[in-house]
Formats: sequence, structure tokens, C-alpha cells
Amino acid sequence: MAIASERSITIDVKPIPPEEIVTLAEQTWSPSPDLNFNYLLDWMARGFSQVTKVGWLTRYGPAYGGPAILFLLRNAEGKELAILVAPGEKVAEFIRQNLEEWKRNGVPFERWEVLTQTER
Amino acid sequence: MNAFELALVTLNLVVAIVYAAILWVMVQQRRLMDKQLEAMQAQLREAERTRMAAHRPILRVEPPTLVTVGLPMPPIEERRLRNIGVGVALDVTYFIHERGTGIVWIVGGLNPVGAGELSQEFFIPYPQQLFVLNAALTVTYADVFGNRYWTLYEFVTQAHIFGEGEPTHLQR
Repeated sequence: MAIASERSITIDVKPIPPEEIVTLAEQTWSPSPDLNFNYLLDWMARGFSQVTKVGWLTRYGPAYGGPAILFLLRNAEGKELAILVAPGEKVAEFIRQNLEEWKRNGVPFERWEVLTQTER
Repeated sequence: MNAFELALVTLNLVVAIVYAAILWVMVQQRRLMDKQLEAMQAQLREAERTRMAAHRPILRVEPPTLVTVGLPMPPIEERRLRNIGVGVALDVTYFIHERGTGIVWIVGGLNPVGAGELSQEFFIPYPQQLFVLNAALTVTYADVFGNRYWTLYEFVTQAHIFGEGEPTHLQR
């Protein structure tokens, strides 16, 4: 069951240069940098090793509603898992290391701009 | 036994009886004091329970708001928590995890939630995964005295389980 909200939320999804995500991940301050990065590595080790999308979420991330990097993972059975990681040096380095491979595999890089409007 | 010896024995008996009486009174007083102490401790415990109950936060998971992103993207769920308790919820942390194993894949922090208020929003980007992966949401929080509480929410059944202390069903 879903509820109607007084606020209207839309997400504007646009392609973003991969290098910009690295820069944003490195330069954006977070109260809990790299939060969930260890979980990302754990789940990749558990078989969700294929990265099928990388996104920059401008709001509502795990660290007190701040920005986050979205990773969509897939395992051999086709199951998908989305993990939101708070910006930090470790995740930026992780993206930088895998950037070329992901580009070769056609992984989309997206910017998710969250827009909120109060209706009343 | 002459009269002197009889008097000595009688005196000894009297002294022994007096000592025994004093001892008995002391033991009775000690028992009385123990009972009074127990009653005071019970009163203190009750006062502490009342004090804690007067500040007890309880976080419940609100139904989701669906955010349409547009095709071919599936909708995103925006989730919020409501504090249905009487005290502020501090140190609010949420965990999205597998229901059976307790293996976490997203942990997040939220600002404190006042009594009766809604928390700030957090996103679940691909909500259809919650059913595929048999997911649950656990929220941990504290009251103003530092006592810890948790709420377990199962996405499939929409059931809540509330607990005190640290949750034992999570693998961190």
C-alpha cells in the first residue's frame, strides 16, 4: 500500500560523465564517508559482482539524507541489488580503478537529481 | 549444688536469656530493615520504569510513497518513520537486510525524530528487490537516557516487531 504525499517528488535522471562521479565522490563532504562501501565489497564477493549501473543521487542517501553513489549489482542468476554508498575517498578510488572496464561493458552512468515540491 | 553455685547458674541463665533476647531483637530489626530496603528498591525500579516509559520512543515504518522516475526505470520507494512513542528517538540508524540471515546491504543514519513526528526521508531505489531478496528493515534508536530500542519491519507482511537493547538478528 502506498500513501499520497503532500509533497511532490520527482527524479530527473540524466547521463553524467563517469569522471564527474569520481570528482563528486572525492570532493563532496559526508558525515559518514564511504558508508556502505564495505557492504558493497561484501556483496560483490558474494556473487553480485557485475556492476550494471552507477549513479549519483543528489539527496536522500544513507548518511543523514545527503548525496550518495548508487551501484546496481547483478549476480549470475540475474538477481539485482542496489547499494547506496556515501561519498568518500575509498569509493572514489574504487570507481576510478574500475572505470575503464565499466565503460567497455557499457555500464550507464547517471545523475539522479531529486526534486521536492510541497503541494500545500 | 550449694546456694552460691545455684545463684551463679541462675545468673548465667539470666545473662544468656538477656543476650538471646537482644540477639532476637537485632535479627528482627535486620529483617525489618531488609524488607524496607527491598520495598525502597522496588519503588526506585518502578520510578525508573516510569521515567523511562515517559521518554520511550517507538519508531514505526510508514507506508511508502512511490516516486515515479519514468520509463524504463521502475518507481522508487521513499520511506519515512513515525515516532509513535512519547520521547525523542536519538541515534536513529536503519538497516536494510535479508530477513532470514540478517546480512545487511544498506545502513543509513537519520536525524533525531521527536515524539509524534515523521523522520526525514530515505530512498529504496529498486523496491522490487525487497521481495526477491526477502528483505526486512531494522531501525535502531535510543532514548534520552541512552537506552537502546529497535524496530523490525518485514516488507512482505508489513509486520512490525519492537524490541529493547541491541537487535540480535543482524549480521554487521
